[in-house]
Amino acid sequence: MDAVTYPEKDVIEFVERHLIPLRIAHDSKPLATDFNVKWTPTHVICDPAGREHHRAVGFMAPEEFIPFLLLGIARVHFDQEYYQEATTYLEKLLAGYPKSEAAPESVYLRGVALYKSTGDPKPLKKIYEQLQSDYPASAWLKRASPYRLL
Amino acid sequence: MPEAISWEKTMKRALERAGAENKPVLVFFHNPA
Repeated sequence: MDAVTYPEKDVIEFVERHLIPLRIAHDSKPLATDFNVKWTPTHVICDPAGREHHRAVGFMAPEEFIPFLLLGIARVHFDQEYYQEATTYLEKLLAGYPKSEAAPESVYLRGVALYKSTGDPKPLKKIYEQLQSDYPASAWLKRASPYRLL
Repeated sequence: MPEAISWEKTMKRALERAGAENKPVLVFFHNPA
């Protein structure tokens, strides 16, 4: 990560603009224990209360790291029921990084956020339709399969 | 001898800053070896 991803200009700008970064050695107590860190690199995204919302273990190239961060920020908002803010970050992810590993989950989460903010079930069916169309090999298509019946 | 870093205090400061700036915290656990 130090050699490839962190020096990337887009990554630096994104982190400075959207996050408060904190770099900690993997064996630093008590945080490594509190966060149950067993391998590195581990990235955890927390809200300002310190609650974890998203995590990844292992190397990520810049084109995967930024969408990971976008999804994590969206999850922070989603988990706090700020669905409009969550949707905004998910739209950015899907527009800028549609081929990233985070994209299928973002389709799913965006549909759920839209459903929860409106009560309209149509976005749930759209989750399935878009995943089937754009990400047919994704595990998220299976998770959305009940929505095809709506 | 340098004073040991208090990671709890560092985390607390990061969370305070996150609240003030309304941003999430990205915690990166790395292996410095």
